[in-house]
Amino acid sequence: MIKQITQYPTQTSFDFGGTVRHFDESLQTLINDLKDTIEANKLEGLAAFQIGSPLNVIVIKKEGEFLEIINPVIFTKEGELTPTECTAYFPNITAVTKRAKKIKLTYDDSEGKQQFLTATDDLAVLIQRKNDYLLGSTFISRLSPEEKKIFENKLKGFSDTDAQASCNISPFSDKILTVIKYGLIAGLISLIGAFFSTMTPYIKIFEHYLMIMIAILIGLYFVRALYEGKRCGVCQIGNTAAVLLIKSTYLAGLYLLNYWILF
Amino acid sequence: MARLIIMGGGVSGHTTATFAKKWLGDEHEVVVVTPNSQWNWIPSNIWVGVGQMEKKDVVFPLAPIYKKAGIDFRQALATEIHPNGKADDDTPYIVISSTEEGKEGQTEELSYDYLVNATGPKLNFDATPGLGNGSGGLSGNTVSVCTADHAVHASEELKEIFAKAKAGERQKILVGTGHGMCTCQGAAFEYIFNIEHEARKANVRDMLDIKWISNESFLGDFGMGGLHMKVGGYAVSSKLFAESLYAERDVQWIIGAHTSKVEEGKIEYELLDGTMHEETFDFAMLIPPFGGVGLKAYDKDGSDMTDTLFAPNGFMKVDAKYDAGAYENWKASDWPVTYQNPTFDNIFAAGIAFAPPHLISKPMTSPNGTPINPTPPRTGMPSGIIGKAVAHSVCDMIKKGKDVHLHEASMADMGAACVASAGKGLFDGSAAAMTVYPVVPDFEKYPGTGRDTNYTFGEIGLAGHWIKHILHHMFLYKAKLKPGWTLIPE
Repeated sequence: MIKQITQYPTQTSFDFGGTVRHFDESLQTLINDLKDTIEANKLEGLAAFQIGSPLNVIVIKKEGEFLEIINPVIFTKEGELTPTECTAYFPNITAVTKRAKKIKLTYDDSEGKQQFLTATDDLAVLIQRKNDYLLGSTFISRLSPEEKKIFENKLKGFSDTDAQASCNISPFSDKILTVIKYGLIAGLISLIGAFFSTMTPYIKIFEHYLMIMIAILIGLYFVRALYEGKRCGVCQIGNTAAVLLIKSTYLAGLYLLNYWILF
Repeated sequence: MARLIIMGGGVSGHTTATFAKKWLGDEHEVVVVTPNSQWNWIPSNIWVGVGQMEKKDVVFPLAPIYKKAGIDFRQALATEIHPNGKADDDTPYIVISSTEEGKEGQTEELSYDYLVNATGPKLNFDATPGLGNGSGGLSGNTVSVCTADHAVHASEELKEIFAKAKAGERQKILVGTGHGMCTCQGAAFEYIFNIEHEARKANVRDMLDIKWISNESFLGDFGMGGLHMKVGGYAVSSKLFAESLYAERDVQWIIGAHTSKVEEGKIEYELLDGTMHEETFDFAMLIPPFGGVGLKAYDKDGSDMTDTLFAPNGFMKVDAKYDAGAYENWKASDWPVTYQNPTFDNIFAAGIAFAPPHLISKPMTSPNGTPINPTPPRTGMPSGIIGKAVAHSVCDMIKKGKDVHLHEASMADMGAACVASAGKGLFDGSAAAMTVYPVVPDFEKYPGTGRDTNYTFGEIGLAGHWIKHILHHMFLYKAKLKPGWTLIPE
């Protein structure tokens, strides 16, 4: 059956790279689906992730023949290539990656028998690219920092939903968290300072306003993080509430220390 | 009054003994038999191995701690178990051989009501020709960080390597596993990145070629078949996590390798495809495979019944499913739950000493038939948790009778946290901190990866490094039974 190919910006799932343990009919169905989808889209190969399966399966089309690679393990890499790659996950976008020129891998065939393969050049690059999907990644993880920046710019242009692209940038709520962190550290340091100086009254005032500021920032963080989550189309309320709780606990701790030390 | 004997005083043995004594009080006797006079916080041996800590920082004498706790401490090696007693006496007993100074080799029979085997592993250096000295010890070809003394030796050797590098002599460092069936890749992983960090600090990094060699079929397997971690809200395979770390620190790697022979400055290894290769080195730290400590078991009439109590690899049989068969049949339920010996209900095994039912990683064999895969890790957190559960079970059996429901601590229903540091300084180190749940993948409960991705996550950075420092002090504090020690988790 021809399946829909997963494309950016659908993020890789948390469930990927599942080792195939049963070489049964369901595996054969998955392999057939991969073959049908390759044929229909005139592709060189597909990883199971690309049609929504978490299993460690790759099908490559090589000189008209299909190569079924299950549970691949690349154990030797030699030489280096910098090919220009494209993939169905990022249609019409290319990137210059870093790949091994020659690889040796062991894998299971569709009957579960262990096989070995030495691949070079284009085939090696293709297998490495498909193998990245089995690891919950894409070829982005094989880009140099400079190439990654270029690629991310290409992605922004590509995406028809700017909101999704904006999810990849560092969110403002993280910056608020950083300020909260340094605020708490500053509060602690000044409290310790109270043991060694005679400026306790000034420290009291400083701590007072600092704690109010941190409380406001925590509130701001919560609102901002919820907004960002909504903008990215993901529900992060659990995580956001957990962070809110943790930061509030820290602030309560700072308040208690203030109470014991300064009053 | 019942007598509980614990063979071994490592993480699991010490945990079992101290909790058992706390729960049993003075009404019953707790005896610890261990050949070592000192307790060693093994994870910090890594810092000893790079000269950032001294031996005294990671060990402390056991005798005063046990004296204070009311535990009978015997510095001796347990050599024999007689679970059915003697011809004329049904009381089970063990034979111990003293290692105490001045009493070396003196044997004694100790009767028991309950026995816990927490001997840990035998460091089987001799499994690889040239890695061991032929008498069970480490040969001079490589170093080890498995014991505090080994780590001190490794640190001295490393210092010489750094001195040569400083003098302009290029040096090759090789770290990893010394056999195709090793476990504890995490320790080697931590050691290689500590060396790399110290080399940078010493300004000799550019004169060192640092290489990793391992029996893992992929970087980041860690003997657990790898894991999928949430890093910064994204799911990342431990393979990518490890590969990017190695690439970033310019550490080369060889994986899927069985080290078959070690010579001075050279190893021979077989790869998964059966091909043989060589690698040279100036300094190598290769972890040995683990085996059972070689305890023997005898029946009433003196006949050998070691096979009844122990698996062929020398580890003790417990309530695991040892006939699970091929990889596709493996289940989480194969793993032991109570750690009770199936033949003798008054014998338990805790920590590394229990025989696992099978591997965790997918089994791999070269075309020559050489198995090249990590064996399951049972160190650290699982060891402590199992030790405490066994202590609970034994105490309940003593106090309430043998028919009580035993406490459970299956590795397939247990999470573990692992912190692998790189560097020791408070402000210049970093660490990879990982949690994994469950340790043994449960493919029925979590189809696909076998693990709960909500509880399996990792992070790298300075904060993880602080955790490593905190763990060092907390666990030594706990092991010394200082006030509030029971509140510190395993």
